[in-house]
Amino acid sequence: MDQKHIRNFSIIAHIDHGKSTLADRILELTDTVEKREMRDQILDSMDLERERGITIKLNAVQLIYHAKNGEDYIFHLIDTPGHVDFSYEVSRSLAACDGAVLVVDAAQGVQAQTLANVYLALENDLEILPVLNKVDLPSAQPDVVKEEIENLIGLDCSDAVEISAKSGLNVDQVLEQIVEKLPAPSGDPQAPLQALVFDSLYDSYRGVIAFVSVKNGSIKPKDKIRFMATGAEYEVIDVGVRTPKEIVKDSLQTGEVGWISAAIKNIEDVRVGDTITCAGDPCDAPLHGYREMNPMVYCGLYPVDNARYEDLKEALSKLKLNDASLTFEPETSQALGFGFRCGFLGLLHMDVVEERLEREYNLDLIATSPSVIYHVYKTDKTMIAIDNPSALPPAQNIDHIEEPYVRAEIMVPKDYVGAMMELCQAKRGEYIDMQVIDDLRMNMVYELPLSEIIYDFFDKMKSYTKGYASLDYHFSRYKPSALVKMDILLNGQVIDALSTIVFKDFAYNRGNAMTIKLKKIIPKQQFEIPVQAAIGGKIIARTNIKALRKNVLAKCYGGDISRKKKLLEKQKEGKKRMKKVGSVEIPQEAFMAVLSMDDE
Amino acid sequence: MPRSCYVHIPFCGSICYYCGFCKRLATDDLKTKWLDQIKKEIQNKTISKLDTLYFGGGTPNLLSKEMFADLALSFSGSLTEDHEWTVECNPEYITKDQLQMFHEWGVNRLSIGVQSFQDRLLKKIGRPHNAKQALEAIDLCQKLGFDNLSIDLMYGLPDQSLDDVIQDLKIFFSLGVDHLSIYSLQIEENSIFGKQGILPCDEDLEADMFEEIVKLCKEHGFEHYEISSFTRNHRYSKHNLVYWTDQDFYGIGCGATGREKGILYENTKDINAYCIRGPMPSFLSETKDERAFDAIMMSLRTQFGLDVSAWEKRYGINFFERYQKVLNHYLGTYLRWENKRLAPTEKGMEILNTILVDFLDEN
Repeated sequence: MDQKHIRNFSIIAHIDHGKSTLADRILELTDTVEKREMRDQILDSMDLERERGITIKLNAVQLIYHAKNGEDYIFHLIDTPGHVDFSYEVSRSLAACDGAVLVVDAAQGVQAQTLANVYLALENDLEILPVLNKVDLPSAQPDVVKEEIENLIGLDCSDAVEISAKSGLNVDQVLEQIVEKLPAPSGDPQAPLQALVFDSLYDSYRGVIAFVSVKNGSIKPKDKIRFMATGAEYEVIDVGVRTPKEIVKDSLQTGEVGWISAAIKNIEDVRVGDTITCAGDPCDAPLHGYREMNPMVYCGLYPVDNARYEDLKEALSKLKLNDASLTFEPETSQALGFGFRCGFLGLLHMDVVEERLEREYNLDLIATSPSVIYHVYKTDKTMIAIDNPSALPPAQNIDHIEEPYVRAEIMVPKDYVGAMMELCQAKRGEYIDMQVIDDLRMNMVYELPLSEIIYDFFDKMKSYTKGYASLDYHFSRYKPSALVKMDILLNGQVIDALSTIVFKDFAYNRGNAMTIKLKKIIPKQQFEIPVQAAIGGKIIARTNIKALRKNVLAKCYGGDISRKKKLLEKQKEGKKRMKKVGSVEIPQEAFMAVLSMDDE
Repeated sequence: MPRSCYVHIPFCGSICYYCGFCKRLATDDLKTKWLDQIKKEIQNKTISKLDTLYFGGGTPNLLSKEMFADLALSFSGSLTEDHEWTVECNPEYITKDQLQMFHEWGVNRLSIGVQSFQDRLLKKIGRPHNAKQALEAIDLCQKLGFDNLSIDLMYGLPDQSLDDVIQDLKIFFSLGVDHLSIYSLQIEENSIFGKQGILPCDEDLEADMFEEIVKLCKEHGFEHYEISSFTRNHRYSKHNLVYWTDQDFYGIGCGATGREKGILYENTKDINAYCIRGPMPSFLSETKDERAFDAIMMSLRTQFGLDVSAWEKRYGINFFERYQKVLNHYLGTYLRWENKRLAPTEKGMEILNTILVDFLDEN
């Protein structure tokens, strides 16, 4: 099929505005997936995505659309995540596209991530097609929302289709508009090959599979290809597309989106964002990749069983193929042994990575509490960047510390502006600006320490605004802060993996909350365990975990043997998820305790 | 061939709030069908010699005189000269007639479910008798010559204080009974307490109670021979020792558990199904390693502990090699050696679960 009949597009939206449901309907309408194979969220192939009802990974599929003008079109549809943590996935999929369908919930209107995704699309010079979803809801106000889109984004909404992705209402019109309004790919089929790698995964039989968008030229089996950034060369074994089933094709032509398999065993050779060209007839320069995303949040990941360090390393390497924004470096902890300091885009990202490592690679992990990168200016005038609180130099060597701030935009109904301001102030935020969005909503702009955002800002925002506020944030700058390192001592011993860096004025409360939380989490042991929080050797909070005195099941007849054993087996399972540090057994969740405590 | 037999009698006159055992409020018709079935079951086992026989429940002394006789007949000829035959009894059903009949058939040990000597607490746990009935029943048993009695008491009950426990023990010591089984309340999921979401007793209070019980019993000349069992004059429960010393025992009746050739089995708990199709035992498939652990788990409940060389011979495992780490950790304060047997100390009995999980870890 010629290039004019190809449309490459993403669906972008704020979380829960109906991207994945629209993708489901499009797949149905184009008969891409047979009815009996259809299920909700079909592109979300990870169990984790389906369980949580969110999209984590981008997903690319090819489908054929019989347009009303009688001609057939090839669509490459890329479903994208909506959560702020995964905006990197969005930016990658947008680089592989020429247009984007912007889905806006007709009841909720434009939200923080709607705007963030639109800006990403505009950066990539994409044509944007606005669509109003959920118009069948009683609370839907499509006209108001259209006006909002025109005012806030500057998109013409006079032709915007009003749909219900759930019922399928007017989805056919969206398909027609994709044909009419979105451009065809513009590459040169005769030029040397230039294919953008926008995703990859590891298949244990075939090695690394690269997902590419062919911008110029074409690619077919037996071609010798070169990865321009790494210089690695391979011979192509297979190429194809996903529909979402994997289908082998003779070639991938200019404008097509598909996969390449080339028996690539070395994971490092394939980098997302790299350009593939023909080794014999290379192009002059690589494609303009996309902005590297720098991790914002760091934590240590350690195998509960130290012997599985190598397995964790391999799992992280494989996962990184599929999740380019993940970073990791080896580190050691006195308490936890050998592990990795890993960088993530946000807390949800961290949570998802940890869970994928545990599920997909069958690892038992301990994650330490998350940290940002601090800039520590020492008295000898040097600066070090630390991502692990235990690496903080002694207080007498520190001149001052700077921490990262973000510019946060919070869209919130007017009734909750007061509450949100209170929250932002409590979280050390600095007011920057506030704009009126419409009669009902305001956009608040604050500069906030990133560490407060990752601590519990999302949860607090939800409870302060009954879930009506939406948040987007970007790194703004480093600013000096009065920060101190808070150590936790168990049985008199500092547990390095439990150290955190806190704002000085919050230290007393957090120390208290932390010791109380740990007392709840750590099971009683054969001796009393003092739990202390300390700053520079000075104890600021203390509690005791009393010694275990009795835990025996008193009644045990013959018939109780199997029941009793089940009880012991259960306790044994629980013990497996504990780490022995010195003489104290610490459950996994203790290391994340800082995230789930209430310090008010 | 097992030399011990447990018979489960799954009928009760009322349901106690803490009970998670297999039991029914039954009609006479159901009981008749049940009796036919259990007699068949006993015949099929071809039991030859029994040192111990135990009727548990449920409420075994709720059976009518005729039914009991019918059931007892099935065992006549199987019991050895110096056998121990225990029947669990609820005080409110004990009568002179019943006791005389027990005596005639050869029952020589009664385990009486008293639970507490305080009416306030009895009411709270759904026991249909009061303290006076219990005391009268015990007196009657003694008068009719039952000198091998055991009393069941409970601690860790809702609203029970340490002082309540001490009072119960004082009364117990005044009775001249040689055996005490004293259990802490477990909230069983399928019990009335479990369904009501009653919270277990405070851990510290429960530990205080337990330590007080051990102390008082020892002061009164009782051996603490198993976690929840105390005796003087060496009146151990021979039957229960079978469970605790890695030996086989028949399990008979709906809801009973047994062990033959080292393999544990559990009969159906569905009484209607039992009456039609018999016991339908489900066998616990355990590896040798698992059975070896079961033996440790049960043996360490008693002061006699585990005969390590017999265990090594039976299971072909080097005990010291496998458990070196656990032994290093616990020997002294929690575990002790006595006559080449590994036994728990008083402290070890209290945290046996923790110790056993560490044993389990090495399997």
